[in-house]
Formats: sequence, C-alpha cells, structure tokens
Amino acid sequence: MIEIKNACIGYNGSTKCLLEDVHLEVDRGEIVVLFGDNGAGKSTLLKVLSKHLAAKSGQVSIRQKSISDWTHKELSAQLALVLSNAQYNPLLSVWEFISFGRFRFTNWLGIHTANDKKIIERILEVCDIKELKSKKMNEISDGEKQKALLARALAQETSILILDEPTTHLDVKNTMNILNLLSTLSKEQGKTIVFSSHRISESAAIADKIWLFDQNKVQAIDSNTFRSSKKHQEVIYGKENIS
Amino acid sequence: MKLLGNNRLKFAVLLCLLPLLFIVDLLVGSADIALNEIWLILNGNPINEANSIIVLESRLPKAVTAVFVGIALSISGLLMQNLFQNPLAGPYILGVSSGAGLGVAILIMGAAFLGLSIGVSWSITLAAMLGSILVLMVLFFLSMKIKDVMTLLILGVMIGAIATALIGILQFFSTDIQLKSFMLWTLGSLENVTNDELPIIGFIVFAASTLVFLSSKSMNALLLGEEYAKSIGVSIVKNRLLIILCSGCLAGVVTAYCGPIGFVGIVVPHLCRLWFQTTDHLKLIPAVMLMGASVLLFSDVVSTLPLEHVKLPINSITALMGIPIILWIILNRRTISSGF
Repeated sequence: MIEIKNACIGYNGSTKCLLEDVHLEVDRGEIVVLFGDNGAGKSTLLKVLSKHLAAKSGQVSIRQKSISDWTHKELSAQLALVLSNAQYNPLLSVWEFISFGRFRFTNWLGIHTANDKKIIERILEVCDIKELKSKKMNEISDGEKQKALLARALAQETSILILDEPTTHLDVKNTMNILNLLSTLSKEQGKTIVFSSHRISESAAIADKIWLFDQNKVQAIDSNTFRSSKKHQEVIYGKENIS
Repeated sequence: MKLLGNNRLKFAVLLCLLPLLFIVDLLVGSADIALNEIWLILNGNPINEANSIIVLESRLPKAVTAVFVGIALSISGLLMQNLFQNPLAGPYILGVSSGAGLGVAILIMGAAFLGLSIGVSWSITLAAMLGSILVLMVLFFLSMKIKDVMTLLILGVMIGAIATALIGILQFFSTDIQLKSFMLWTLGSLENVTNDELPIIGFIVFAASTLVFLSSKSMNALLLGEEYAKSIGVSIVKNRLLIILCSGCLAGVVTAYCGPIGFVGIVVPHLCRLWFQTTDHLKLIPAVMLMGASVLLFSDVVSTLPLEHVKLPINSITALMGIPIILWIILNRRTISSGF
C-alpha cells in the first residue's frame, strides 16, 4: 500500500537528511504508529507520505505508483490527512468544518447532497461529537477540536489515514475511544492507518507495526516485539527512566 | 453547505436597502427633481428637458458607477484578505491602488513624452489594471518567503510608498500639460464616468465577480490553510493566480476611472463577516456585493448633502467613515481574528 525505499528525508529548504536510508512498508489494513522524540522527524515523514514534502532522495510510492506521479487531487481520494498544526476557522460550525471532508464529492458550488449530510451525521456520531455540531470552532475545547479533525478526515472516505498526533489533547477516556475507533476502522473497513503518538502503551496496543525513530534512523518493529523489548522501550522512555 | 442558510432576512434587508439608496442618490443634487419626475424621465417621458439631461447624463451614470465601484472594491478587498489571510488587507492599504496610479502616471506622462495622445478609456483602464496586478504579484511572491502577516502589510505600505515616490519623480519631469492631465485623473470621482464608459467597468466587474463566485468552494478551503486545501485537491497556484488577477482588475478598473477610493475594500468584507457570522464565500460574495454597492451609494449621498452646489470628494467620505471602523476592528482583537 505504502512503500519507502532508500529515502533521505529532511526539512524543507535544507539539504541535510534528518532521516537516512529509510526503508519502510505498510500493507493494506495495517495500523502503524510512529514513536520517537520531539524533532526526530515523525511529522516530516508523515508530510512526505502525504506529498506535502518531497524526499531528498529515494522512492516513495502509494499503491505501487510513485508519489510524484499522483496529483494532490488524485491523492485526496486515496489519503486523508490530519496535521498537528491544523488551521481552524473560528466562524465555521463544527458541522461545516467536518463537511470540508466531502470536498471532492460536492459539486462546483460545494453544495452537499442528502448522502453527504447522512455521512457527516454518521461520522459525528461515531466520533462522539454529535451534540457539538452547531457550535462554532472557537467555542469548543482543544480535545473536541481534535475529534473534529479526525471526523473531517473520516468524511473524506479514503482507504488511507495519515494522522499527526491525533490524541495529543485528549483525556485518557477519549484517547481510548479514538484508538478503539481507529482499530475498528482498520479491522472492519480495511483502512490503512499511519499515525504518530506519544501515548506509547495505548497506541502500541492497537498497532500492527511500530516505526521507531532514533538517531536519524527509522526502524520498523512488530508491535508485540516492541512491547516486550526493553531495548526499544529505552529509546522512548530514556535509559535512565527504565528500571 | 446551504446556499443562503439562515441569512435570508439579512439578504432581504440588503436587497431593499440597495434600490432605496439608489433612488435617494438619484434624488440628491443641486437641482431639485422630484421622485415622480425622475420616474417619468427614466420611462422616457420627461417633463423638463434640462432635468432629463441631469438625470440621464449625470445622476444615473454616477449612481450606476457607485454600484459598480462598491462591488469592485469590496470583492477586491475580500479576495486580498483571503490571499494574505489578513483581516487588514485591502487594495488601498496594500498599495494596489498606488500601483494602479503608477500605471496610469507612466501611461499619461510616457505617452505625452512620446507625442501620443491618451483619450481612449481602455488604455487607462489597462494601465491601472497592470499596475495593480504588478503590485499584487510582488506582494504575493514576498508572501511566499515571509509568512508573518504584519510584515507583509508593512511591505504593502512600503510598495505603495515606492509607487507614490515614482509618481512624484514622473511628475517632476513632466510638462504642465502632462501634470494637469494626471492631476485631473487623481482627483477622480464617480462623476467622471460617462455613459459610454460604464459598459467597460460593468463588464470587468461582472466578469471578475462571476469568476470569483464560481471559485467560492476552493476559496473556502483556502481559509483552512494551504496544506489542508492541497490535501483535499485544491490547486493552490491556480486559485492564487485567479485571486490576484481578479482583485487586481477590480481595483485597477475602479482606480482608473474614479481615482483611489480607500477603506471600502477593508471595511465591507469585515462588516459582512460579522453581520452574517460566516466565512462561506457562497454567502459572503453576494453579501459583500450588496453591502459594498450600498456603502458607496450612501457615501455618494453624504458627499452631496452638506453643500448645495459643491460636492465633497468621495475618497474623503469613505475614509472618514471607514477609518473609525478599522480602528474598532484593530482594538477588538477577537474580531480581527474572526475568519482567519
């Protein structure tokens, strides 16, 4: 589904590789979680996967087609993205905000059909924000905004979800709800989900694979192996914090 | 998204206000012409030939110009605020009007230098539009390097100052005739537009407004950030180019015929966003068109009322009405960030 071969990945405007010799793969329906320190390159890698940044070298492909051959419009039918620095328009209601996920389905004026509305209502329910739908975006909490962002990505109805820290502002209960939702989407609808997180144990529990970012490298590890390996845990928590 | 949503009443108010102000604008002036006489004149049955000429040759084109100018400046401001994601952007503040002035100055003074006579409206319009678009292009390329909106605004003001300085240099080397010709243009008012020139303004305003309205869907997405807009399939370059061309043409054509008219472009989109509580361009564009036209008609009425035989400059009226509103916007931080 997603393949990265021999890639060098770095910040925009810099020639340096933040991540070197990256070889990674994601199969259909898999959940991959990115773990690593701040500044390790998780968001940068997610931007490369969503074509917001080009790899300095190497190959990145989605569905066996090089990412450079996909237009953004074509990609929008394959992949939905949630950025950690998403912009909110305070005058939009939560419903209107989520409705942007239906962008590619609406006509040239952006008018929503009955089907679009039905899908948005269903997603509001799934993400547990139905009661917020009439509220303006500046009237809801950061955690609620995060759920609205995920709902907007789900409204895009793509087979791949790329999420940059989707649970940062959520409390434990809501984090578990969202992670369980992601797990269900993967199992029942075969969605491929790649997301970064600092909620290590909760996220690892639903993941098939972990991409561990350490010292300019990314290592792909089976999630069971990650959970039982002290060496890997040390990368995340720090040697001094593991007894 | 619903086309009109819950804003029907507000649109109805604007739809009533516009013809009302249009009629008032036809009524006010140094000659007393009653409403029923104006009605007869417009229906082709004038009682008094002199009054008929006043209405058909002066007041009617002036009122229609006010409608076109109000629409053009307001949409231009709305587009610039979208492009720069900045609530204080507008054709006057960003130096776009000065760019139009520079285009016309080069044309008038350059043509006189080459021994050509400038009498064709199209050439002045084109020069003003090219000047506006040039300033917007420079600002746009700068905006790709500089993300801070306040710095961009200051750059806009500086570009405007450069254009004004260049106009000054051109004036310094001009003959009296060239100077007079240019000064007459800068004084510009709604009254300078003739019945023959109205279709030119009308065509540009209609074409640009239609194009902008048809791009509402993408413009709405742009308000959620460039990266997100791209991720749902919006072509950023195409849309930005369209915004630059349309807003440059709109600000340019107005400046070409009526001189620089400030603050309408900033204030009207704000008032509409606040009143309609929306950033949806499908609703904002018609709202801004109706309110912009009404504001210009109102300004024209105000500029005519105080003195019996003298008309105050419309630019001064729009500035006097607009600046307090902008100050209120700046002082109210919550309002300034609305929609951005």
